[in-house]
Amino acid sequence: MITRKAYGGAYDVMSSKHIRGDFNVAWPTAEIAVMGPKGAVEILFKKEIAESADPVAATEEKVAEYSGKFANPYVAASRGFVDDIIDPRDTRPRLINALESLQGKRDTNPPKKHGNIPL
Amino acid sequence: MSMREKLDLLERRRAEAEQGGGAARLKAQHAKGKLSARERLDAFLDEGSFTELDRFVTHRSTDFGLADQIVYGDGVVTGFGKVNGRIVYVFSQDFTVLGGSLSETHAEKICKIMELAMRNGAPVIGLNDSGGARIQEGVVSLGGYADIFLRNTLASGVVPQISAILGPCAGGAVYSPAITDFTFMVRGTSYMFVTGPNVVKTVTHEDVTMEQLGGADTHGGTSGVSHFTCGSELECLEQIRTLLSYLPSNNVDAPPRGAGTDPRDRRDEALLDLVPDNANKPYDMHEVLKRVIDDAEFLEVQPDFAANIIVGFARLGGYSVGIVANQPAVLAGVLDINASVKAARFIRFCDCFNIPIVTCEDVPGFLPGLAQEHGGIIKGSSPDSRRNTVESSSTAPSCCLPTVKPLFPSSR
Repeated sequence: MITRKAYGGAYDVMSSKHIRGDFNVAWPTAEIAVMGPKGAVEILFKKEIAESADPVAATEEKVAEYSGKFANPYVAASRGFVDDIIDPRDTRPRLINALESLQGKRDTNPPKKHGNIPL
Repeated sequence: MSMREKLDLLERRRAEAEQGGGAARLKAQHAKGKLSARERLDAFLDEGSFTELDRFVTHRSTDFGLADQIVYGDGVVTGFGKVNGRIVYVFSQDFTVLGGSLSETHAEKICKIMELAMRNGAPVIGLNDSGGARIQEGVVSLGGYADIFLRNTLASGVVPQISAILGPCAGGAVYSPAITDFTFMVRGTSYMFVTGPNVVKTVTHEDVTMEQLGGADTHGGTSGVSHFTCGSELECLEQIRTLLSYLPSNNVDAPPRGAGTDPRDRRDEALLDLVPDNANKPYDMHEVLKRVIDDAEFLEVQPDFAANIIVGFARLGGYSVGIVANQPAVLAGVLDINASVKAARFIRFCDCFNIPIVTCEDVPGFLPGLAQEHGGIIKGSSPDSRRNTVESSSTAPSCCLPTVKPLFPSSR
């Protein structure tokens, strides 16, 4: 359940769909992105900002544009990275529903003694 | 179009794929003392053994001008080849293509060879040279990383996974190497950090150089993130080949037997005089090891991190073994948190792949003090914990050679 920020590698490792999360939902406030809008804009539009007459205004403009486009849960949802975007008030029933649906879960790993996790 | 014309077209496209990011960027890569993605594979694999997969893969993105930046292979060369006659799967990131950044398709190529490696029981070697996620792709690029992490985790303990860091690798680009079994770095050109110096400056106001934050010596000596620090890329690639010679291809096969020319009944008179009669005098455990193992050949793992314990690979009678030895020459060979962690993970790796452990023991106990207790040495290395749990749960063969009578620890 993503309430707000889900940025970068931290998004990946917090039970994302990709690492076998079973049920992933986001609140409408979720921002699922590579990084925060400001950081992303500073990299993506580095040249444009540097060459503009007013770099501060140019950055702000790009941040607004980027935020509108990417600082939301809809890009991830369009890929199926989250199963749904939900009304926060529905969180509890949705979680209970999900857990109920998973009661019969069976999954397998390759045969091995154990993995070699960093200690 | 005739067959010959179609063949010409194929050849042109194949040649184009081999150009990567183009001559200018390749020149810049060479100017930094770095090899290209393909040159690295040539140097690493047995001559002429490489089979490339997915040479014609391209990304499918259109945002932020990506539609105009389509390069065959999408910034990574993948496939399989041989090391000393044995199959390995490899990927080699191409920094000349969009900074080696990881896109959805770039990740798909890596995942494909990881799955083949698991299915066919062969090691995966990653030659990493990537600035991180392809930010223009957004969450799709992130998903690509997570797909790789999942496969790293599934493959862990099934096939050996080895990472070479051969450039400035940041963010997503370092998480995967960190969960593989062994990480190699090259002094002066390799960097690993979760966030680079600029972000550190913004968030914590610390002024740090790339070298301090995540250079080869930092990770080889201070953080213990890296296992091997090399002087050059060629030395690094050669050392990975040496490491592979001690390892089985998977968790079912046996490691390759060495030549075994060192006589198994060889006795060494010098062993009588290596340990000083005065128990307070140090000596170098390496000297003991060299005289016992085959041909004095020892591949030490993490030699500059927690040097109070020695871990590494050797052969005895031609059989591959993992060595774990206290080092009386450093901190009297005491066990502290770092030494325990270092040994425990090494033992765990050996156990995954059924490599027997030989333990050479000369240990005065655990390191006392505030820093160690606050760091949680109790969970880190007490008899009930990390080192011990790992060793107790290991089912690979092990034998212990105390060179001096061990004393049971902390109460003293």
